Order: sequence, then structure tokens, then C-alpha cells
Amino acid sequence: MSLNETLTRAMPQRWQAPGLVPSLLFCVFIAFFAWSLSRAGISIPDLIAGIPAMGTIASEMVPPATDRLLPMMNSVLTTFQMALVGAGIGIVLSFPIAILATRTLSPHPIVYSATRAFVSFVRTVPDLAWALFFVASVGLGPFAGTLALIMDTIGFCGRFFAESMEEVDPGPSEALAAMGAKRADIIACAVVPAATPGLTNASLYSLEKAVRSSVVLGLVGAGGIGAELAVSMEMFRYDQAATIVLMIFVLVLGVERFSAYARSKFLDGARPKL
Amino acid sequence: MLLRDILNMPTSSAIDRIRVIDGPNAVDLEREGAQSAPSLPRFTDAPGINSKTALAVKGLGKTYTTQNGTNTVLRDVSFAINAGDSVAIVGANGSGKSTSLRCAMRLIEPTTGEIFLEGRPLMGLSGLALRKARSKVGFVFQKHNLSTRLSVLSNVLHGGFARGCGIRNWTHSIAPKEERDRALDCLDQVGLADLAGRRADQLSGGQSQRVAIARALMQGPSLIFADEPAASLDPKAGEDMMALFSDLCRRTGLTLIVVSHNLEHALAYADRLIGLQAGSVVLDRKSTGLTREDLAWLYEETGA
Ligand SMILES: Nc1ncnc2c1ncn2[C@@H]1O[C@H](COP(=O)(O)OP(=O)(O)OP(=O)(O)O)[C@@H](O)[C@H]1O
Ligand SMILES: [Mg+2]
Repeated sequence: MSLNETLTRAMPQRWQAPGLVPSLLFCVFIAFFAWSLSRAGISIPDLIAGIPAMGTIASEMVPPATDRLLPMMNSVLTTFQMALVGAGIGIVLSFPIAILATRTLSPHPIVYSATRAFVSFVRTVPDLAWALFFVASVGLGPFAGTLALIMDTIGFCGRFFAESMEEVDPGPSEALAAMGAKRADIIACAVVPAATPGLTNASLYSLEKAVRSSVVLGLVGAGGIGAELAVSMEMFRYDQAATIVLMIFVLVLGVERFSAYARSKFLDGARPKL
Repeated sequence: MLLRDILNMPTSSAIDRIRVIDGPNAVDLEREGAQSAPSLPRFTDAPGINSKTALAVKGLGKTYTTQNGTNTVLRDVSFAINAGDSVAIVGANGSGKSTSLRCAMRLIEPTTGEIFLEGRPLMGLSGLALRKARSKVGFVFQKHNLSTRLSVLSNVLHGGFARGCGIRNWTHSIAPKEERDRALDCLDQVGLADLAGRRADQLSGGQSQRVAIARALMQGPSLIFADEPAASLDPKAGEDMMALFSDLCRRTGLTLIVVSHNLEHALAYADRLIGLQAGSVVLDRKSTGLTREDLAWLYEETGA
């Protein structure tokens, strides 16, 4: 008796030609993509024609300018401070909002749905749109930018805080509810400790996100280094632009390194070593 | 002493089971067991509701609605427990023991029925009144339910919420001195005072179990609901824990309701047994004069 006699043979199917409907849908998708390609204004000649200009700009970028170093550093600092305050206030405000938007903690299903809808709306509006809105209402400057960052952070943290708190094991909360603890005690002693890794991750990520967007917010007059970058580009001072880009690079890198460090501090023992 | 003897004895029901597995006359043995059971009175001395009743449930029912129909887990569960009594709830896996404890505290909302805790109805209550009523009951869960990222002492301090302690009981580092001392005393009672500073996720199963018990003691409860409190304890620790509970009952008049699969514990430490089978009360009587074998029918499959 040979071995293969005892085995049932389960050969996976060969490739088969797709049916009519999938083939049609595929053709429609290809056609739409081709149309999108033409509308995206992609033009190889323009790209080739632009190469010398790119070369000029790149060559003018070295060496980076040092003439406006101090005011630039000041603006970078403002950018960072806007991001810090915007993310900080945003995180603090997100917390109560997220509790209302957590199914298990929300006082009423209507409150839950309304808060969820509010957070989704805040998140769908892009940060630049918030900045334009606040520049128009409170005027040019860092205050408008900070407000925009607060909204942006609420949109992000409101959702992810709620999700981390919804995912925690209900056991410890049940234990405290069973002894008649207040909702605040249950949140502080059962939900938040268990959600700490998720809350920390979302907070740090929102700080990184705020730093990156606060650079761009300056472009619409909402304060910080973005305005300097816009002016340098318009004045064809590409060497200054290079300095600014380098400073932004250092800032973003520094914040990311800090987050990585803070994560390793807060997430101790949360996951098994692989 | 009696208990030790029982523990060390190979029980006849275990021997019966072995025969049932390999013997041709297995069915006869089973039937013998089933026939001898009715001779034993299943409902005797069960107290009615009176002024001494600590907890009474009447007609408690729970039906879950799932995608594939309804699942009735509790059917017309009624019992009354006098203050200071210790009662064991026994029954097979899935017979509804944990669910009836949860329903009695309305951690799961019962579908039907009434609950009286120290004379007051629980069903209509909400908010502060419900929290006040619940605070009298120390609930030890089957899965311990500790906040694992906090210290052992912080977890025990949380029991203070039942006595109206405020936010200083959130963590051991800011708790008032009296509360910290009291929490350490509770840990001492379960023999864990040396682990007070350890994070709760660095405990063994039995140690977490004991922390959960200390947390319940911290409430200063008048009733304790313990869902298999000895399940993850070693034999000695389990014995000690049951002894601690019955000592508390005697000294402080605590009412104890304990779910246990350990029939030796149930028979030795509980005055009364309540047996559940497929969500119905099928036994409610004094535990005196019963042996393990008298309860074997509880664990037989009802459908077969
Ligand atoms: N959310 C739920 N939906 C539907 N059925 C449930 C749900 N929770 C529990 N059950 C069912 O209720 C029954 C009783 O469960 P319960 O936890 O009370 O059993 P138990 O007597 O405590 O068992 P064990 O000895 O295993 O702890 C089980 O059959 C279980 O499958
Ligand atoms: Mg159970």
C-alpha cells in the first residue's frame, strides 16, 4: 500500500476566467483611471521643461542662508509652541468628549451618537480649512493657528480615546460598579489605567501631527514658520527656504524622538516580549 | 478534621464513574444513582422572607436574545437568605450560578423577578440609591477583575469607594493614612501584606484572587458574594480562605453566598446549599448530613 492511497487529494482550483460582471466593472475602473490621469494634468514635457528650474532652485539652496537665523529660530519656536499648546489643550478637551463618545461610559445613547457625530465632523474638516475659518474670525496670527490645532486634535483624539476606552476589559469596571462606585471612580480606576497605552499613543501621535500641521498653518497666516517659508519662496530666497526646511526637519525629528522615548516609558509591560 | 478525611478518601462516585466508562452495565449504574437521588429531600428548611432576610430573590428570570433565537439562562429562581448565614450555590458549568449572582445585584438586568436586599426592593432603584444598596455587597468575581496596571494596594483601596471614600482612594500614593492602613490590614487578612506595592499584573492567579477578596473586605460589607473564591487557590490557601470567610461570618455576622465547584468546601463551610440545573433551582436545603455522592445527580446531563 502506497502512502498516497490513504490521502484525499484536495487540489486548489486553477485560474479561471472572471465572469461578465467582474470583467465589466474592471473595464469601467480602468476607463475611470485613464480619465483621472488626464484630469490630473500630468505632462511629461512640462516635467522635462521644469528640470533646469529645479536645478537652479536646488543650487541656490546651498549654502543655506544664515542672515535671518534669529528671527527664523524665533518663528520655529512659535510653531512648536503653537503645536504644544494646541495639542495639549486639544488632548485635555478630548478626554471628556471621548467619555461621552464611549458607548460603555456615555450617560445616554443620544449623547453618545451626538458626540460621535460631532467628533466625526470636526475630523472631516481639514486643518487648513479650520485655520482659514479662524483667521477670518479672530484675525491673523498664532491664536488662529492654535485654535485650528485644537480642533484638529479633538477630531483625532476624541475618536481614538473613545476607541481605546471602549476596548478595555469590562471586568474591572464591573467590579467597581458592583460595589457602588461613582462613574468618575470607575473611569479613573478601571477604564483609564487599562486604556493608558492607547491614550498615550494617541496623545503622542497627535502632538507629532500638530507639529507637522502647525508648519503648514503659517502659509495661510495663522502664525509660525510657515509664513517665513512662504515669503522666502515668493522672494526667490531659496537659500533662506533651505534653512527653514532644515529647521523644520530638526523640529519634527526631535518631537518624534521624544514620542518614541515617552512611548517606551508608558507602555512598559503592556505587551509580551516577542 | 472531618474535612481532611473526606479530601483524602477516594470517593465512591469517582469509582462509579470509572466503571461507567468501561463497564457494559454502565447504564444500570447511572440509573441506580438517579433512583437513589429522589429519596433525598431536595427542598427542606428553606427560609421564607422574614425580618432577618439579608437577600431574597423572587421569580428571577433571564433570557438573552441572540441572532439565532433566545437563550433562557435563569428560570423562576427564588430563594431567601438570612443574615449571618453562609450559603453555597452549586451546579454544573453553565447552569447559571454566576448569572444569578450578577442578576441579584443587577449587574445584568434580569428579565423578570424581584430582588430584596436587606428588606428593600432593588428593582426600582437607580443612581445614588442603587449605588448605596450595592455598596453593602462585596462581590468577588470568578475572573478577579483587578485593575492590572495599578498596584495591589491601590486595588484594595478601591474597596473604600463603597464606604464613600473620595478620589484620594484612586491610588495608594495619595490615599489618607487611615485608608492605607486599613487596606494593608485587609491584605494581611488574606496573607498578602508583603506584596502591597507590586503591580497587579505581576501576581499569580491565586494571589490576584486573594487581592480581590481583600478589596471586598475593604468595603466593610454586610454580604459577600464570592464566585468560586477558591478556584485558583492551592488546597491549603483555599482551605484558609474558606476558614477566613466562615470566621468572618461568625465574628461579624457577615452573610456569605459562595459559588463553588468544590463540594467539600460547600458541605463543610456552608449551612445551606442551593443547587441550580439549567437555570432552575433544583435543590435548597441544609447541608448537614449530605455527602458528595448525594449531589452527584446535580452534575449529570439532564438531556441524556
Ligand atoms: N451574553 C450572553 N448571551 C447569551 N448567553 C449567555 C451570555 N452570558 C452567559 N450566557 C449563558 O448563560 C449560561 C449560564 O452562564 P453562567 O456564567 O451563569 O454559568 P455558571 O453556572 O457560572 O458556570 P461556570 O460553572 O462555568 O462558571 C451559560 O450557558 C452561558 O452560555
Ligand atoms: Mg460562573
